[in-house]
Amino acid sequence: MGGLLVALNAGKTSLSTNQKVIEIAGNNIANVNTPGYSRQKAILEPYPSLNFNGFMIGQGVKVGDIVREHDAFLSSQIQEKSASYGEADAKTFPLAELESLFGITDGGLSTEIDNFFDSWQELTANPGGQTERDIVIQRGELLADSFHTAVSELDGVKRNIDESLLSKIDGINNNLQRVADLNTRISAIEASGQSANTFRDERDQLLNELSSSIGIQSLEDKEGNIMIQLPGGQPLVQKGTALTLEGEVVADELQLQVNSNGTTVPVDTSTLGGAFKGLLEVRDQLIPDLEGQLDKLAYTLVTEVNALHSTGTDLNGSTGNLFFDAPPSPAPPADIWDGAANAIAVALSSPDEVAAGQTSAPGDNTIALQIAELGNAKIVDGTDTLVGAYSRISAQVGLEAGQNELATAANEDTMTQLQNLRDGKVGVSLEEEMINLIQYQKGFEASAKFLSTVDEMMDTILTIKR
Amino acid sequence: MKTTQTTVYRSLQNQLFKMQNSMLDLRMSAATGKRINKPSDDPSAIRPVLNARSQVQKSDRYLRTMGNAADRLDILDSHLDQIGNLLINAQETLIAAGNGSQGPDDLVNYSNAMGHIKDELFALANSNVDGKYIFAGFAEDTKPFEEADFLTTYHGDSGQMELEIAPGERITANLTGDELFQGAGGGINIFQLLDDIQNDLAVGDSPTALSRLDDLKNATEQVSRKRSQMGNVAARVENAQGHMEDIKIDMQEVQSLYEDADIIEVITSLNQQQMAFEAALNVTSQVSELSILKYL
Repeated sequence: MGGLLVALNAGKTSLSTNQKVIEIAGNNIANVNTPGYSRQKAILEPYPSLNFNGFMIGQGVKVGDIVREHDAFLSSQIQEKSASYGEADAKTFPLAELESLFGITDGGLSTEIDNFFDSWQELTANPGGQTERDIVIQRGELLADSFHTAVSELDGVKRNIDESLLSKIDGINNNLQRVADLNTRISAIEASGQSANTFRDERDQLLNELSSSIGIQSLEDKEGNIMIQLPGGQPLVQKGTALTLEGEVVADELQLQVNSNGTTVPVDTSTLGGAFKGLLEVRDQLIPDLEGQLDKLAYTLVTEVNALHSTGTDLNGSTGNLFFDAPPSPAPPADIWDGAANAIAVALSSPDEVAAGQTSAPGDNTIALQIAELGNAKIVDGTDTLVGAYSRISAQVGLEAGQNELATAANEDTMTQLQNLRDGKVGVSLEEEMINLIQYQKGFEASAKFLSTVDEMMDTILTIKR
Repeated sequence: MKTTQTTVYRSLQNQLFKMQNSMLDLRMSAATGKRINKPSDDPSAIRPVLNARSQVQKSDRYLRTMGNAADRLDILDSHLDQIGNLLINAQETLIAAGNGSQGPDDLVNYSNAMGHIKDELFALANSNVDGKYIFAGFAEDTKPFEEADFLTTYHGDSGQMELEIAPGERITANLTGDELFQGAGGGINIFQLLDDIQNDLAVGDSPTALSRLDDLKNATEQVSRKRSQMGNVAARVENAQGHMEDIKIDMQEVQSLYEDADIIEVITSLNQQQMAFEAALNVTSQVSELSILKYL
């Protein structure tokens, strides 16, 4: 009878174990669409055997551990690629704004430059005409407006980037704090020998998000704590403590810094990664470069037109007049053309003041002829026309946006591939779970059958004596 | 490796997004008729497109300037024609006066006739078209010759009105009164000449008057030389006009080549993409039908 009781016990362990495994399959199925969920599986192991008259006899089965499927290589790949994808993806919006700003449709800056010189050419045919003179001044004002619009829209793009950075900082700090909290929990749970499966999934997911936004590097220690640092080496999370990222507006521009116990460390494109790096690169490198080129364009235009205009005489006989206000003269080491695009303005107020000729004679068109020719002349750096220089700016933006489009698409493909690989390795497959269900259901049924057999056997034994 | 449901849906979704994006681009091309709608569509085409666009605009302006130049030259030509006729008239008068059979009264009449011719020339020299004196150089608001001193003094300036009719190509579209009428720069002072002849005839000295006939012929020559000079300029403008129109068409072609979409190609690609999109949608809808759950 003793053997039967042992068998009864073994049957019981089998019933509950198969039930447990089905429970796990159910949980896997429930999480089939949960992002970052790793398939869990039961590690089954036999109960230690007992010595019975010199034979080792098994005592049934138990769930030794529930572990999650995991592939450290894939996880780190995904984390790494998240940073590149985040960087390229973040640039998409500001670059699209810049593209529309430096577009090539009619009515852009290049059209205004053409129109301005066209009005001078028109003036050459009738240098004394009030209408023609008025048109020259108006075209000059429209051209100045175009420059102002371009500069203020560039500023607008910068401000949008600042807004977007600022709005992300809270989320990032929250994520950093959550990683620190999870570190504490995971190390505590795993110190007791259990697996903190869902907490690890959650932490992996947070790391991917952080990598995508600020391009972190992470390292796991023996106790299961993840340490996070920026690509530049600035630590952000150590065990259970997280530092915070802060934004401070200095001179109308958002400066980012890491606050570590009261001391702040500034961070920029060289120390950040991911979306922040992408946005800051546009804000701190591309846009200033474009502004510089716009300034240079405006500066060249203003100085060349003024140089010719001041040699002429207006209808009132006064000479040495500037057509545009003289550009600001910034103190070195700033480039001489700094701020010219924003400062460009027509200096004349009355059509009489346009110096179309060398003399004040109304039929004199010599200066107008020379200024009209500036439109064709290679005056920017001596190598390019004004419209040519504008097309260089536009092409630069176009190239940058085109490259970024390619980079975004490529990174997106890679991310999809990696996520598919990850799903293939550690994701939940409904087919697999269904087959497992069948398998363990059969196991459960067999255990039940076994138990009823043992029961019958016990009945048989009990009916020996009537 | 297993393929999970998430993998299938993720891949299909990405594919659908991509197709939608490329269809959007194609639709934009079809709707605008342009191959380049934003700089990144083809950064290398921006310079040729903008350049061609300015060239087209400049060609338009050159054509209008040439129209203006042609008008000026026409007006000039008709005035020079009248001046030439006047001087031939003066020659005839002088020859008639100097044939030796005229009495003193006749000579006074001829002298008066010569005075009229001089006055007419004076009026022509002060011709004003559209509020501008055409022989005053740049000083088009100044009467170039005054009654009091027109024999020797010119109130205009020596400005040569140049117009640009093609990049770097300028023509002169005016004549200054001092050069044409007063012989500035080594010519004959026609006013003075006519005045001298008039005075000689008035005092009955027909031989002296007749001795100036060669000068008068030279003066006529001086005017017709200027006229043919201006005629050449006008011919040049006319040639340049045809040439500039060709350039404009060329430039429009260049612009279109870089900027305009090949509509047939766009529509074909769009149809192709739509077919592929429909196929992808079909596949997506069938994924859910094929499931292990059906067989359990």
